[in-house]
Amino acid sequence: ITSSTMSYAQQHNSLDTQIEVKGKEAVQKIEATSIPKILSDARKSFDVDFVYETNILPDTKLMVDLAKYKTVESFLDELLKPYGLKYKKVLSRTFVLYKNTEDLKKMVEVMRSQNLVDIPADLLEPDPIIAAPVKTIQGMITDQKSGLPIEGVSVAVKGTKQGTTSDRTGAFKIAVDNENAILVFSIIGYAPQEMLVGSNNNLQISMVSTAATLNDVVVVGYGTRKRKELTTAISSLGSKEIAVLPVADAAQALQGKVAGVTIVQGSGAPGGTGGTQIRIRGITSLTGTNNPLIVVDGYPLPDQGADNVLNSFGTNDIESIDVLKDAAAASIYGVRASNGVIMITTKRGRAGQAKMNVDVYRGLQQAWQLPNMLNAKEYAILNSEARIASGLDVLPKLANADAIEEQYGTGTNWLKEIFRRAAIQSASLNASGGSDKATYMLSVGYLKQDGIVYKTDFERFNFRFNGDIKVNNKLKLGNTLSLSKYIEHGADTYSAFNSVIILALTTPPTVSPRNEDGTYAGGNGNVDGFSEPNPIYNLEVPQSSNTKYRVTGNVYAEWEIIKGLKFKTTYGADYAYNDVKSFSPATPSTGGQPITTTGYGATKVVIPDYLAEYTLNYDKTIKEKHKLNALLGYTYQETQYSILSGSRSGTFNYLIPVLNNAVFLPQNTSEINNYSQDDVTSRFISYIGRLNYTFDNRIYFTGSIRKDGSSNFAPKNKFAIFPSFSAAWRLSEEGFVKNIQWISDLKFRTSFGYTGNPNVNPYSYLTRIDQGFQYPFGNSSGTEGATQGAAPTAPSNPDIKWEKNEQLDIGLDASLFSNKLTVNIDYYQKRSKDLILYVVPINVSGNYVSVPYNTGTLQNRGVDLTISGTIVSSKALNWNASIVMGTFTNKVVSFGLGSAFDRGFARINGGSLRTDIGMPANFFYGFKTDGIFQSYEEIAKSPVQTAGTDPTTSTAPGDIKFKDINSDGIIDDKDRTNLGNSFPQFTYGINNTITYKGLELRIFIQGSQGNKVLNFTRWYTEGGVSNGNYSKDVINRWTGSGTSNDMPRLILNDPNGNNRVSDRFVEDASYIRIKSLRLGYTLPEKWSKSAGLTKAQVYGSVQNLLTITKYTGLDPEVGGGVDYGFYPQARTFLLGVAIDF
Amino acid sequence: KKSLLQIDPTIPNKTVENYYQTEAEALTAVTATYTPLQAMYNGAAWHIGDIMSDDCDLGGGGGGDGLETAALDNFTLDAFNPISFLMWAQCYFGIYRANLVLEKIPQVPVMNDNIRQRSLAEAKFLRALYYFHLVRLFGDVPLYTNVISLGDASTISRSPKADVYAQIIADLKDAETVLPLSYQADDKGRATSGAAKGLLANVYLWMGDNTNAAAKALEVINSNQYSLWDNYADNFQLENENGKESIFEIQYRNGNQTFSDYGQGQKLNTFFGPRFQYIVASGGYGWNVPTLGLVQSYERTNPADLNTIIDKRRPGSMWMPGDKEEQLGYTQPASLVGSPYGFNIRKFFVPIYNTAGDVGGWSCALNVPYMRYSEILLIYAEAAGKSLGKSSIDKVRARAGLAALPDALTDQQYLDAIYTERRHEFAFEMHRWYDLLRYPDPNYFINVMKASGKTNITAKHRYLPIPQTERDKDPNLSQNEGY
Repeated sequence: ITSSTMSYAQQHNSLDTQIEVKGKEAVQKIEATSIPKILSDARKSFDVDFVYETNILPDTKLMVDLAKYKTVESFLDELLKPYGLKYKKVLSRTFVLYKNTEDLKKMVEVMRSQNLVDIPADLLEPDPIIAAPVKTIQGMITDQKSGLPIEGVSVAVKGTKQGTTSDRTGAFKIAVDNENAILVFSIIGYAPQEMLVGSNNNLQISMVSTAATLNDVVVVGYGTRKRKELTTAISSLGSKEIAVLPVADAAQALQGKVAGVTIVQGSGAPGGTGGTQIRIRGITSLTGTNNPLIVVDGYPLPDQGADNVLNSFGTNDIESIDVLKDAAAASIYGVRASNGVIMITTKRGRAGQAKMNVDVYRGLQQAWQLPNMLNAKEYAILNSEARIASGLDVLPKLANADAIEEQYGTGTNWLKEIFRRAAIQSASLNASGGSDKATYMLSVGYLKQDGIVYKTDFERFNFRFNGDIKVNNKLKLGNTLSLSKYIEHGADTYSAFNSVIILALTTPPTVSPRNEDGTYAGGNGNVDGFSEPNPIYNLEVPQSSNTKYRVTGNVYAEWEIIKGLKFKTTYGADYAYNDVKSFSPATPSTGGQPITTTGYGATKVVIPDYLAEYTLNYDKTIKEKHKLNALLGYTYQETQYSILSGSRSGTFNYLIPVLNNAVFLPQNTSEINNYSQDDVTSRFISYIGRLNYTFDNRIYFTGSIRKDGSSNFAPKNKFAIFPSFSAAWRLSEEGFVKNIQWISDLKFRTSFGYTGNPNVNPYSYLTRIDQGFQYPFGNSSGTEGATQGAAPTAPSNPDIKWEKNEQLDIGLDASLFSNKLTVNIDYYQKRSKDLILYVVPINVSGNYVSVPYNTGTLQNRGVDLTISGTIVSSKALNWNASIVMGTFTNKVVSFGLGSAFDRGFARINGGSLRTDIGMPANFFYGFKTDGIFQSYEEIAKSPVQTAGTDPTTSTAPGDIKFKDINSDGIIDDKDRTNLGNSFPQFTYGINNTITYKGLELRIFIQGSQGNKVLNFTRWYTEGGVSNGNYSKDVINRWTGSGTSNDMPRLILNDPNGNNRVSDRFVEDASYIRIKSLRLGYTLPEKWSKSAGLTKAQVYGSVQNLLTITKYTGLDPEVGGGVDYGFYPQARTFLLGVAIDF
Repeated sequence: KKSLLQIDPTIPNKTVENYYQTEAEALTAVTATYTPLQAMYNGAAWHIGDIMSDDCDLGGGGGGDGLETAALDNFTLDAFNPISFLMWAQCYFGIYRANLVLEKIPQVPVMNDNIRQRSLAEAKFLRALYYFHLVRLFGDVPLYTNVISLGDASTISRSPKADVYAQIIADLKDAETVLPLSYQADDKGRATSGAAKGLLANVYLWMGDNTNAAAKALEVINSNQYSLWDNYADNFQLENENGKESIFEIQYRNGNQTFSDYGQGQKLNTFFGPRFQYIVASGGYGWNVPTLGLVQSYERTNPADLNTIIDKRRPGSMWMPGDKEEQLGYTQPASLVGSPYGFNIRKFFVPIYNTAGDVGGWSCALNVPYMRYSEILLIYAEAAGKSLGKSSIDKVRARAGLAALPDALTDQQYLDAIYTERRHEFAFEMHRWYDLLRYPDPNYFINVMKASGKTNITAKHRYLPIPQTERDKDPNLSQNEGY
């Protein structure tokens, strides 16, 4: 390099330099010389080159003896320092001389642009050798609200690579060049701050926490982005919000916290084992799963067909949950992303002092609402009335109601028998720390939750180890590992026939749980007219347990090949092992139905899943303003579903729950042996690509594409491609908005993309032979003699493939009044196409089993809204609040080859839910009622209520009058119509956090508006079908003209069909509830310090403190919309302590 | 080289392409061709054959109980009726499987040739049987004799009745020469040459071809394979299944499948049992209740007193008030829910103490006869005419304890006598509706049904409606007139 090649002047020679050379020793005669001249000499003397702008050199003459310098650096140091000039070695023999960093950058850029030099970017960092005298600053960082120290805050000197983090006392120390240095303080959850060092050597920084700050890191799938750079709809929830709720299943913590995510806890069963229904922006499939993909630390968990996939993981391990809502965000997960993606990131260690956190709580749970049932006397009277009405004899036992009262008092309150106060306790310990080279996070957790239904409980142990190692500047290794085990003892609270809650609702109060001799009572049809099992027997005797073991982990290596280009490889495995046992021993006395045989069954399900991932990530900034990020990847995932189950029943020597023949030997030939096995493997192979481009922090573009192949798809449709595109414009960076003081940040986003749902069963493209036929040739009587038959029964669909989903999203993110108020609003439209519908083949073809076809279209439209803000912010009192709200409508657009279909409920003929064109999926389908017949004249004038029968015998005054929708004079199946649906008009959550000195109050209100529930518990408890107990409401039944227009007369066997599915049972299940109320008190710092603690908080909380709803069942949250006595949610009172060391 | 995305099933899945490789596999294909008979006779045959006719009414518990059957009983049925659809569907399942047998079994690599030929003949017999049900009940129907694709099935049109009959006759003619006279042990219940000839005789009779009908019936008679039970009721006993009088019967056993038309168990016992008298499994539903008209049609000593019926078949066929079952100590009451006169069918009665394995009901082991030797005799009596045939009908009457027909009957009187004889001989064997349709006067069924109080009946009820769900899938499937 020479100066002649540059636009900058450079002095080469000065003729007036005199050098005397004597022999081999150069003796220089020192004269005062101009600096350019000195540099020119030095150039020759050291055989190096200097590049500089002449105007930076002072116009003075110096006497410099070059010979005394051993190195060029020592020469330059002494020459330049007095003038505040610096130098930088840019090539092996080339030095740039400059005054400030700007000059250096400029010159380097020029050299780069002329391809003169390939200068590593870090050359632009100031050279510490000639840094100004070091000034050490120390300081203390505290939370603005609580005044407590904040640990782990990153403290950086602006424009430099220098930085540190605050320790557990909030203290930090950092060296800076000069007083003009600016320090930048940042940590997730707080607004970043900058501070000029000035003359102050001891800084006090107080940081303001924010719900979602623009610089927060958001997990986007195969990478992260800053919130302000997002072009797609992603909502995030931090660890604090998750940890404050005592839930076993992290999904439950999302309820009411994320706009557009509808969470229904269809069950309050302990440990969340009843499932948590997560729906992101409506539904996308009519026959397949509507559960979102769950990605834990980058691992897309296999779809295990259940909603409770998350209850294996400790909630205190979670750092953040990011919900990818729009297609452009989710499409990087391709064919599994139609229902959105939930990204869970667990905590990792940070360099610095080790820290530990312990959180322990204990509490009490109880049912918050139980229906009122008849007491013994009322039951005796009303049961007799129902029997007389249907022409049956009164049960002798119940004939005298007064005698019943004398004998039984109010009778057995079965709901009180099966519900109880139950304990919940949890302890978790988190330890993390590390050095520059390696960091770690270790945790253990324990949760024991007894259910509010007698004999149900859940116990979980979980462990985690996350670690990261920096092998060198180029190579990073790390892992996550989670181990868990839970044991659940459940009860049937979900089946239409034997749900213990249904049994408790219907078992007569005149039956006791036990006889005087301690044996089980009840279930004696001849005496009680009721022969269902005794619920207490059902809870106490049959023993079932579900033990689940899960190991989920991965190991990664990240290698920075060149600056900005990273190669990452990840290998992971997820082993889920379920061990289900059920044991039903022979019990001589179970009331009227002795159980004479012993049954035992065991099922073992193993779901091993493997993942391999390879990604290349490239970051590049061009001319400051153009930022590029590119991602390329390949992933391979294999899931196996393996089930082995066996059961035996019969009369056995020993009542030992095991299948072992030696101890479980059959005594007679009635033994039934059943065993089955299935193994299904499926694979995904995927290619991913994504490009992010940012222009000047103003305009952002993202394009992504994923190609997914699945072994489940038909051979000719193995691969699916899912592209997406999104863009954002930060208006707040534009001049016309920049000047508006109250707008801190304003961004407009739009996105469009495709995702899929792999809702295809393995091998459904094959025309299989159905082996399920038998025909008994020969003179067979009894159970022998069947001859095997086989024939195809379903034509195949050789084209079967994924369901496709396309989604448009338009969003606005605004941050106003110095970030005190943030608003995020999104409108979306989703169209789900190629939906798999099961089409029944024309029977003329000889086949009848329905075949999956990609046909049918569904549409969801909605709006997500989040508003959060700081209402009060003062030294002592702080109040932050946020409101999230989501609304959507859902409509079946077309069926294609398919047709309207009904979904049933085991005890209703023809189903209770219908899916039809132009309607929301699964609306309640049944009859409309029109009051109650008050007279025979009215019946005679009205349509025939029971088709095919004589209305004069089947319908009487007091029966329900159904509407003749098609006006054909007969009430039949054709008069069924839409009775509403279970989709809410909107769901919402209001979250308040109020702190006053050491006190912290969190009030979380959550609700749902407009959702309906078909309350099928009333099918049992309002007469007609059951000889069992009735609800108190039945007292107001019709007993004569004008007595009631909504509660029909009591009659057994329901000849008028009063209990058919009708609007009578459809209830408005809108609710608003104080989901969580939590008061915490942080001990004054001096106390905790003296105890050697960093922070200590004691807290108390109540879940489901208050629920306002018109719904009459046990709980308005009913997954699927048909309530047949689900396990209700509990009201929980907790006391806990959280300590940081 | 196999792609990573190509995974063979862990547990072997046989497909249409790789099945039918062994004799055992071939035999399962034949067996599956028989199985639709079970659902047909559980779920549709008696609704159509008996309840639609003047012999029976729905009965049962009233209310919404059996609405679809009530629609048949009262002639309010429409194209959505699930019972006529069940009949339609099961016939086509059988036809498809028979076609599959006929296509695949000739290619089975190693197979005993006798069994191969027999299997093909069984398939032809069954195909004829299924088409015979279809053509009588639905008229013109889609006719196909090869394995059909879903696409072809979804565009197929109805063929004229004559073509369907021609195919039935061709199949039965092929079958009768190949099928064996009888079977041993575990093969009993398969189609025999007698069954093929007997069915063929019936088909000819339907077509009005009395010459051929008589000839075929005579071949069965002369085969000397069959004879009448002395006691009529012995036909319907568990221990006499596939007995000496049986030409072809639907095989049932106590299956594990309860509450289903599609199990191997017969559900008639539970459905026909006196309502909730608990003399049959699951209580008894009291469906398919004999009409007063039927009971009054039996010959009796005192026409004014139903208790003086002389026909011995009556007690073997039905319950009347006062009838007893000794072992259960049961007496039929004077009336029951759904049965105002206290009548119920007894023909398929298996008492609850004799139904081991029928735990939940709907799963009785008793076979249901399709054709008995007495029908061959009555076909011959009808087809051969009075001079040649009267001795045959008299044989049937003699067993019933009835006198021989008078010699002086006109041809019309003789024909009517045969129809009455058939009504009593095959009461509740699901023949009556077909007989009403077959009678030479095309208005006969209308007149008879109107006389029995079914005023809704019109000419359109000659045929059942083509199921609408099928028409929705096949634009070329026309509907029968009037529906």
